[in-house]
Amino acid sequence: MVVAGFITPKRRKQACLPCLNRGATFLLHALLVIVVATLLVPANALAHLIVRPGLLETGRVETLRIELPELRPGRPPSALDASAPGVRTLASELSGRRGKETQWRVRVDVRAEPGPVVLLLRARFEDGRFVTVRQAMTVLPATSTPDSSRPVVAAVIGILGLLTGAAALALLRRGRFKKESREPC
Amino acid sequence: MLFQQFLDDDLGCASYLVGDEASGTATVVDPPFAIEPLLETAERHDVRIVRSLLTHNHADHLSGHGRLALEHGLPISIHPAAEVAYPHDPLEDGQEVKLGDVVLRAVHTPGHRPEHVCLVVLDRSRGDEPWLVLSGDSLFVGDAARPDLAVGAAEGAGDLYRSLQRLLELADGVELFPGHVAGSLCGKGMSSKPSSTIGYERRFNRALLLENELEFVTDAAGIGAPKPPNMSRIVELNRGPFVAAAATVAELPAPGEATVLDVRPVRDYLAGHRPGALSVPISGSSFATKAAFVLDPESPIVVQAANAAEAECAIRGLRSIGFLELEGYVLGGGSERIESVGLDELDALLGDGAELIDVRERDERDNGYISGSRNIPYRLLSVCAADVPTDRPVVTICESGARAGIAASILAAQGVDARPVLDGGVSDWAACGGRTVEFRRCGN
Repeated sequence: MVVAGFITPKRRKQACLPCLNRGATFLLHALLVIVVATLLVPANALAHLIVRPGLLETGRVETLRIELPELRPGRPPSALDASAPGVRTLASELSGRRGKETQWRVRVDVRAEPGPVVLLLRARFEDGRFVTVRQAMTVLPATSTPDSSRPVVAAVIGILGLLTGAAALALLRRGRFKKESREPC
Repeated sequence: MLFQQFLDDDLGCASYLVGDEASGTATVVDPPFAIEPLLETAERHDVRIVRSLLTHNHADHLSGHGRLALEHGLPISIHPAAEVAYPHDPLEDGQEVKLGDVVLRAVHTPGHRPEHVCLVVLDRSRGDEPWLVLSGDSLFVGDAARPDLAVGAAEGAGDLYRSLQRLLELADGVELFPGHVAGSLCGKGMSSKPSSTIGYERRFNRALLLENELEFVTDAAGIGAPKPPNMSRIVELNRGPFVAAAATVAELPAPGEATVLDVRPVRDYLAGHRPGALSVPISGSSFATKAAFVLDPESPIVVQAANAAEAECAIRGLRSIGFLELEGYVLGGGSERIESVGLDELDALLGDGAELIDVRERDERDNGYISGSRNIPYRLLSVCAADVPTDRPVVTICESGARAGIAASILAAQGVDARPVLDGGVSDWAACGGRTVEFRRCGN
């Protein structure tokens, strides 16, 4: 549209040399503006990044299903890493392609505090360069963490142990009593 | 606390004005493109609207946040996952918007869309417990939102299941105010009742009664209802640069080359309309949605109405679903006529070789259809019209007559000799002793 805006008046005017020069200069400036604007706009402002699930649970290993748009012209990224404070990647694999989009499955270990978190997705390309995009997500409190269940399990084991010990002692005493009662006076 | 719900009966959309009269401040939640009723209410209650809160990027109607920003300088809060192109404040999980004693707390509830948040509302002048929740497009009265608009149905449903569990952590007494009621295509079985409570929904909402996540995902993935028309375009308009109020349009002497949308009652259309006009009566239900299904957003459009008030009403409806560039309106009728068909004439017409087209949706048809009829939902007729015979009369039929009228107008505009069954439909045919066939699909 910017280019069209500069080209249109040129058609209506007579094609004299100074006019052509001015037109060319304008066109050059317009192209420069477009190039600079393209470089300044971050990739994720135009693209549609999808990360599922949007809610993570702390204390769990979650599998993220990520749809990455075309981050750079040319070949798609060769690796993808997801990280955030308290979130680290365990494994990552390319699971499919749809047009210029790539689909990834990334297993992450979530140890983050519950609340909002910004996941950094770092896509690595074959030439060794990276493109990083961000996705806002939410970490939920653990529904049943191993830490919280551990005291309960310990208490149950302890009670069972005590009961077993008491039963064994009772059986032992009973056996000794029977033995004593069978002995002749 | 000031709390008011605004319902768009045509689209089935709900917006909210929430404020604190003591501090004189308020916020709008999910404002419609027609923002005037919210502004008038705020003025009447002597509160100043200070912010627009969006639960998500809407896919079925144009939001009014851009107008509020451009015309009133209101800042906007939305979850960062919305990836919007306009200036905004991020509204993340747990974040609060305070208006005097009234607090709106965001709860991230992805599923319908990744950025979706619900807003839990507290009135601290009365207590610290949540009073109500604005559930947007997550939990509706009677059902849950559809999860297949932004991503695959199964993936969205997994997220939605987790999100609904978050809402169920709220106490039974918390009131529920959804973003949609019956009439919207963002869910399939929602009630027309505009509010409920968490406790009632916990006991009786069909989506919440499903046993586990797997059952929920299976159910949600099987949704057969059509997606909202022009969905991608509306999402892009809502997430893109601010959309300003459209210019006022005037009466035209003639429609020119534009597509004519005749919004008069269908019988007036049949009695006389302009050649090529499409009929979607403004008096019918879901006018805007039906119009969006049959119109091409890239073509110039002229509204044909009985009077200026009817034309303005139709133009407002069209703008609510993103048709902003309207040429104008024309009044009166035209020279073309179409005869409707009575159910009692149907047998004779079919015996004479007429083609019967059932223009209902697939799931409606499966419950019973007239043997020998073809199924082309009215919303697909403009692209399927080439398959419709032009060498014999065509009769269109639906459930009540409303969609049959629209369908006949689409076919007539393409040169087909089409006549609608206006008084009644397939159920009435069956009730009068006509034989219908049922169809059961595998997995249903």
